[in-house]
Order: sequence, then structure tokens, then C-alpha cells
Amino acid sequence: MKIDLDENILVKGRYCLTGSKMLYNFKPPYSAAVVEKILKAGMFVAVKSLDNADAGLSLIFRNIKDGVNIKPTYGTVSRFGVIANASSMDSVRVNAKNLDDAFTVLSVIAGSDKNDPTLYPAEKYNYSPENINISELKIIESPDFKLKDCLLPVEKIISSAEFSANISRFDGLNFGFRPENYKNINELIIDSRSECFDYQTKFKALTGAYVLSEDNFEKYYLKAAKIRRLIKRELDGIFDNFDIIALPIENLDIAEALINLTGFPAVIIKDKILISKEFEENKLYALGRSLEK
Amino acid sequence: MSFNEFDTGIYYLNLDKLKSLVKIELTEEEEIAAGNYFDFWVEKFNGLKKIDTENIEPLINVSSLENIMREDTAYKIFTREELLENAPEHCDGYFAVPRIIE
Repeated sequence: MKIDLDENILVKGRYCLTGSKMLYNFKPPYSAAVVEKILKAGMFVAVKSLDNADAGLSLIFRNIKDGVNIKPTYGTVSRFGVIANASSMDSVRVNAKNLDDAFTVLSVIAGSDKNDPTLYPAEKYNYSPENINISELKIIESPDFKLKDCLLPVEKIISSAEFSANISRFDGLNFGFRPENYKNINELIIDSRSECFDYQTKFKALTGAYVLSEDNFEKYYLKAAKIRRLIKRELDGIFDNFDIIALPIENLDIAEALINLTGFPAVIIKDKILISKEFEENKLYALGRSLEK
Repeated sequence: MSFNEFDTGIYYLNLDKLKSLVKIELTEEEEIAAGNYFDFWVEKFNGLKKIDTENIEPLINVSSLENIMREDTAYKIFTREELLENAPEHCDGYFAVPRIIE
């Protein structure tokens, strides 16, 4: 199988662009753990083109025509060698043409890595749909829950805060783009960042600095982190009575915020987003497979 | 801190201070767009004040794992040359940066 990789997943010796001028000349001295696992399993890393790849890995949802996407439980796929975005939410996701391929790849990349201490032991993972009787699955469609309106602002606050801290390493000092004609070190850093970051990156970093600043930390960042716990509790409550939450693809932004904040796994297939509680990918696999037919 | 202290309106934002914290400059266009962006999002952030979070612990990370330890042994992953290969400027085996002490 050939696996395509997003540019934020490092491959030793291969230029990593991250879609930004900042790393235009950066050749990673090591590969991401997921890349090592792919190669060890006899799979190949494809040259930037989804057309000739059987599956793809990315941190964000990639809309592949007639394809599927798995966002695994947070803490089941190593983030070593993956350029950090929002560390408490980042999960390497799998795109593929069908669920069998996607889960084959997920089984390869998931699990232990000595360089990522946030991984759960592999005994907890379950990617086997065979023992699931889908007629017995309790599914709730578009549940109306109390904190739904908080999802987007809470995700924005927390992801911006983490993003802002994570991109502080891009400063033109040790690697990446360095501008010409700077007067001092501060100007070097400001010029390299200003020239390389696009407006979305800048705004997100500014938002992060805003919610983390002394005056705002408690009322925005800490408040959001507390509501995050309430959201998790409320969703855990739904999963006490149901196996799967199903949302229409039109609710992608809400669904993304939900799975990012809670760490729950999801399968996106056709016009549906299926979400389960942690380590129940097997239920998503079983139900998703029935939708594929 | 009381919820009444949530700020609204144009005076909430000191963009110059934020830019210096993040170490970026904005173009004139970006500056205008950033104002609109903050107006939009800060209003949504302020909407969170109505949620009662009394006695709720913040959830910083969803992982329930604690204290995964590994052997404290030194090992070499990279050579000095490999690391310096990506440096925009290096000198005598060190990263070279502009002088910071006059």
C-alpha cells in the first residue's frame, strides 16, 4: 500500500514545507513514528499525490471524494515527528477509499512509541468489527445537548492557546527561514515570522496570546478548560445510554470541535459523522461498513 | 473575579501589545481583518460567562494516563552535523545568531 502524508508529518531527509515558507529549506533529521511504522509494515510513503496513494495521514479532516476518514481516540497514535498544532487535541487521522483500508492502516500506525509518553497501552484498542451486531447498536442522531453552543468558542480558545505556544519555535534562529537585513535578534525573529506566517496563522497566534495573557487567562482560557470538562461529562452521559452519536456532514465544524475537545474517535463516511466513546472504534467500523454497502 | 469583568467593545483589544507578545507584524489589511476577527470571536468567548463552572476542575488534557516513566538513559539520536544542516547560519559547530549583548 502507498500512504500519502500531510506536510506536517516528517520524513527523514525529505523537505517539509508545512504549506509555509517558514520551513522552506528544512530537511527533517528524523522520521515521524507513524512513518517508521508504515515502512516497517512493508507499506510505502507516496510522493505528494493522493491519486496514486491508497490512503493518507493528516492531522485534520481531508475531504476525499467517495472516501472515508477515521479520527482515532486521542492518545492512540504517536505524535512524535508530527508538527504540533494543538497538542491536547492532535490525532493523526487516516483517509482511505474504504474502511477496510483505513483500519488496516490505523492498525499499523497505532500503538506504542517510546518517544510519545501520552499513548494508551495497545490492549485497550479495538479495531475488530466482527463481534459487533449492528442491529443491537444504540444510535442517537443529532442529539440536542446543553453545551452544544459552547463547542466552537471553547475549541477556539484552547486550540489557539496551544497553537500559539507551539509555534513559538519558529523564529528563524535554529532552523527554517531567516530574513535578510535585520538590525538585531528581535527584528530577525519578528521579520521571519511576519514574512512566513499567513494571516490565519497570525490571527490564531494572536488569539492564543490574548486568551493566555495575564488579564484574560482566568476568564477565557481557564473558563474554557472548565467548560471542556463539562462538555466531556455531558457527552459521557450520552454514551451511558447510546453507543454512537450520528451527525450529518453539514455539522462538520461542531463534530470536529466535539471530537477534538473530548478525544472521542469518529468515522466520517458519506454524509455521516459517527462518534463513539474512547476505544470503541470497532463499533464505528461495524456501523460504517454497513453504510458503505 | 466576577463575570461582570468580561470586557466588550473596541477597548478590549491592545493589538500592539499582542503583536509584540507573538513577535509578528501585521500588514495594514491584516490589521483591519484582525479587528473584525477579534470582534467576532471575543463576543462568542464572552457568551461562555453564562455557564456555571463553580467548583469544576479545568480539563487540560483528555488523557487519563499518569506518570508514564522511561529509563533515564542517555542516547544519541542526532549528530551535531545533522542538526546544523538545517541552521540558517552556523559557525564553528554552533548556531549563529545576531549579537545580543553590546
